[in-house]
Amino acid sequence: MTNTLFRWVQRVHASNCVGAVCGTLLLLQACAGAVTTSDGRFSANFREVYHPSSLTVLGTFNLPVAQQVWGSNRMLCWETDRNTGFPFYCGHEDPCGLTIVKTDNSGAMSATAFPLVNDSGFRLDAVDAIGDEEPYVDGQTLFDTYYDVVHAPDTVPVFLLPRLIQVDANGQDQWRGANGLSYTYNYPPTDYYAPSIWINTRVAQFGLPGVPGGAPLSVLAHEIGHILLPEPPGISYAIWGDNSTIYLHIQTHVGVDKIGIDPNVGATNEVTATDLNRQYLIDVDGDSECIDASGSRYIKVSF
Amino acid sequence: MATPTRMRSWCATAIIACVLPIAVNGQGRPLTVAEVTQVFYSGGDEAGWDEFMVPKFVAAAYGPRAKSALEEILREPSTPQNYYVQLEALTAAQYPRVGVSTDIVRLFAGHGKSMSLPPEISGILRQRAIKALSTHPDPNLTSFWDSLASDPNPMFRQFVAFGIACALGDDARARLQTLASTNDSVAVRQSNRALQELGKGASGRVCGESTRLGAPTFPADLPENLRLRGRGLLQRIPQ
Repeated sequence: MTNTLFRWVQRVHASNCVGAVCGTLLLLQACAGAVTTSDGRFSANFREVYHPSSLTVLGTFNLPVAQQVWGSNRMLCWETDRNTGFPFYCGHEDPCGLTIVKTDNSGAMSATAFPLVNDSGFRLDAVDAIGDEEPYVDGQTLFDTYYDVVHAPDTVPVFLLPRLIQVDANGQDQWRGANGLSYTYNYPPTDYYAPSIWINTRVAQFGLPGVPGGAPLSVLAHEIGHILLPEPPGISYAIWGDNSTIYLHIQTHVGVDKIGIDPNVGATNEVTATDLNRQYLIDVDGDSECIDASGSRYIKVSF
Repeated sequence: MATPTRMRSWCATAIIACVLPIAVNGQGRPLTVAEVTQVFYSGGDEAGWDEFMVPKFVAAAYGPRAKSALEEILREPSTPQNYYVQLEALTAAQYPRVGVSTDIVRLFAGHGKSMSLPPEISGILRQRAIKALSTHPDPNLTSFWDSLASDPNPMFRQFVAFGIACALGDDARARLQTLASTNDSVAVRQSNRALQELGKGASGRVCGESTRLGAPTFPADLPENLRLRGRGLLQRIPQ
């Protein structure tokens, strides 16, 4: 089977040779096709910023599992049959080989500067009078404080808070119920706070099977997928708009606590990763996210 | 390489996935629990297509067609496995247009329905249920709001003012003025906000994003941003 990282470089060669990315020496090497997998190190940087409240569940920034998912786990595979043109499930590909880096400037935020609401949670965003989600001053200030757009624009802040709150149209504080939330560019209409990951740690600690972001230890790994995967129109709206959560569950939970690969082709133990969903993802060319992530602006290549 | 068996399997699934929905997804048909669940699981942790926006999409795109499926979801015992689907069902229930029974929602708004879950999780379901009731212009909810006003937790109590305002309209003024004169900072803040909205007359948004008059049919249209994000769903489950 073709080495995933090698094909990754090939994808870089195919997709980025005309872009500004190829202006760097490293990617000129990649574009020249002379790079071997043993020479390169593909990495993505994440800065953990946690609230010092005792209510914050710190274990939800799980670097080893994120590294396992994006670095060493074998990936699920779909390919198109040359003779029939039909895509089919082909088991496992090689690991992604990506290094997830927790940056040295990780640490606690100021509890004084960023107080909790009723000793409960943090106001992340709000809803305006006509129901559109919009940034809230607390979330905006926190993001601006810890995202260094000048010196480290490709380092993604990961905020750990006891609870995430959305202020509704009547000024009421609503607890969010999902494990985490991610912001990326180019998603209409909410590309503020991009790039960032926000972990709802009081919920994420349970890793409820039915909660997007899912397994107890893989919330960070899951949200990283939202950051690294290309955005529409680089990836189909059908994947990103309709099935992104399930798609990432299928891929990023491989080998991580709650989900294992079923020996039966096309099935896993994840209740939401149904065969129908898989077939749909195949129909819309939902390939390995490892390769899809190759064009991410947050991927760094070093030798 | 695809084996003949795999090809047959793929073809059979393709027929189910591509042909059957066209045949059975007619307009006006009630949505099934599986369809509603599929829609809920399409989002959750992406900004713009999250736990609040997806249920709004359900309400706007399908309205009362989702009612029976949502009620079926909410009648199930609360477990970690169905936590997220019930959360989303409660979020969709905040839109009276869908028609989910407030009696079912009230089971979550009290302390009973989800008590088997860890408090961090059950509290979220309870709060989401209270929020759902707060956008129903239903005078029969008055006793519920009166009772909730003494809840020790401000994260639940905060919904009382707009809940009463939505339930009673102008008749809520006396209750709101009483709340605004207490020492409870949350009650004071929210009561003043609700009174301010009532002061706008028919245009006051006292039922969430809607006026009291418009609440029964809100959201009347599918916003463009939700139509874009849900366009694949709309192909499979037409409006």
